[in-house]
Amino acid sequence: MTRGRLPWLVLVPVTGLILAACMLMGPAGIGLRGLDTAAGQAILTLRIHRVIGGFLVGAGLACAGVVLQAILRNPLADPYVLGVSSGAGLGAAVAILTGLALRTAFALPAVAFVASVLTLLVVYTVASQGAPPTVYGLILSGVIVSAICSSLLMFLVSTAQAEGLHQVTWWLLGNLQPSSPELLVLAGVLIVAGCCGSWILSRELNALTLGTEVAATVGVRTGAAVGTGLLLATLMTSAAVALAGLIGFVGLIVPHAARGLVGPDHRRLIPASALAGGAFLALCDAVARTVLAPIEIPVGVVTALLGGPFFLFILRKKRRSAWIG
Amino acid sequence: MSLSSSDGLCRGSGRLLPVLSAALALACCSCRPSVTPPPHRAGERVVTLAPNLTEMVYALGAGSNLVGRTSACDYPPECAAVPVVGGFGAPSLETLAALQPTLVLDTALADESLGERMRALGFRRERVCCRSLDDIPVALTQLGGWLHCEARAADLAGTLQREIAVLREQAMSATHRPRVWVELWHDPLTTAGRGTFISELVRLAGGESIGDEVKREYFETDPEWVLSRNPEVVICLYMDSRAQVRAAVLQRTGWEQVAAVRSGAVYDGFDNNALLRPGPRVLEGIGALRKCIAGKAPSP
Repeated sequence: MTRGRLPWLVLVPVTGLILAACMLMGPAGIGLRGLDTAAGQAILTLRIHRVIGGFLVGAGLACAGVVLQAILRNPLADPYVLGVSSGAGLGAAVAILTGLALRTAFALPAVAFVASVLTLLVVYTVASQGAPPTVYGLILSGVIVSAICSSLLMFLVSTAQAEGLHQVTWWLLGNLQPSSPELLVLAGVLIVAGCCGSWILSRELNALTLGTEVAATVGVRTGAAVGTGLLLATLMTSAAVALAGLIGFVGLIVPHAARGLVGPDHRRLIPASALAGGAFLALCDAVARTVLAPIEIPVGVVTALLGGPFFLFILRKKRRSAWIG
Repeated sequence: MSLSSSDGLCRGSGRLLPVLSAALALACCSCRPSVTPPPHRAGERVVTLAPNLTEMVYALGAGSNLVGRTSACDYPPECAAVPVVGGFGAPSLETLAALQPTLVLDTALADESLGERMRALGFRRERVCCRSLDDIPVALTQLGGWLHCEARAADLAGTLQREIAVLREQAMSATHRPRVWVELWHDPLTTAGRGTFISELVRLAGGESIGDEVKREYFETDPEWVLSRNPEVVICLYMDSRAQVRAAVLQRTGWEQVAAVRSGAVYDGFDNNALLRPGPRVLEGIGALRKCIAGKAPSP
């Protein structure tokens, strides 16, 4: 298993290089032209916003994936496993189809954020029933709440007028088109706080991967640790979803890839996942807006297309690393 | 799954279905008075399955023959009294059968499996192609024939053809055609490509849509690309009449340097039903666009 400094010596510069490369890619052409002109500077501003947005969302989703995989002890867990995505999707569809999203730019992200946090609260309450929830209770109630939200979403979509439906589809596939700088800062603060909080929780997460009973015997207050972990993961996921819609695959594959690189210790895994997730999503987004330029494809399509084969590759390469194989 | 099995049922029992549906229709008529057709002129009983076709039927003076429309058909206002047979592109066959139409007017884009079922039910269904500007007079003439108002149709079609020819002439001879960014939606940024109805409207209104670079009906794009094309006019044609987006466009990050934003040539609040529907009001739509674009073109 790779330990020591080597993975960081690779990961940090590679992340930097990828982000720099993303800055050079865009539908206006490869490279940055006419930086001395106002138009060139405007394009640079847009690219900076977009790369930062992609990095933040990717980092948040990857960290949330790490936390949920640890808490649920399930290698297939991702940020959306507890129904956050369906809740946020329902909220977003309501905001778009009622025309609220057209009135103020903040309505869509705000409603999506609130809906996803509410969904997790409902899932947690249903699962807990007086005592701290079990892993299976959480997953089961997550699946059920998610199914209810999805059916409500389908009902809305099937009865809606044509206008706005397209936006719902794009939102469900993920979209990093620049939102307002204020929103970027707001979501960024939540995601960075979530990543730091998860990192502080590393010791507890390490113990929880061995199961709640074992964790309790090494002195971890499992109820509090699980609750805090879920809260942090939800905050990060909700902020990411509010900023960019439902981008799949990042929160599932990046934790596994990072685990293969730096090992299963969360003190290393969380920063590594944040860096790798951010770089991966920024790169996917650069591809999404460049490959068919000026036509843009939803970034979620790219993450799945690039992520799927990469996941299979990791699976074959790292059969012996934690949880896989 | 369910769709394909019901298709199979239709094909398998083509003769049985009309009988069944007629029985159903009778049952519907007795229990749901809302689908009872309003009084109409003797002759055709017409159902239109697209808003532009509804407008054409009224423009031809055959509105009283209309016994059914879609929920998207909202012009002219008097069509509100005509029963609704379903959404645009999704009519309810049962409701249709209850209205006993002699002519169903559908678009060329419509779902053919639905058309098959309509034929199986014994309806006369005609598809009307209205993809480009030149299709409109042709469609009006066709409708005139089916609705027995040939003279009125020839009159309307002739006027439209002449006006379009004049506009085309003017557009061809223009020395400068302002670059126009037609924004159909903001999230994701969506516009129309080359060869579309919208691109044609912009051209006849004296401009040139920057979306013409791409041969596609509609496409999503990145704001960066719009900036790099530096449009002189921005026209927001959202499919939602609630959209007041001019202020939002003027305040977008990075758009300060766009020529249209600097000069304030950003327009919204169009009557999209007149503009985006390939119907008899299309000249009004072009006129509205001309007002916005003309200011940017040097006067002759």
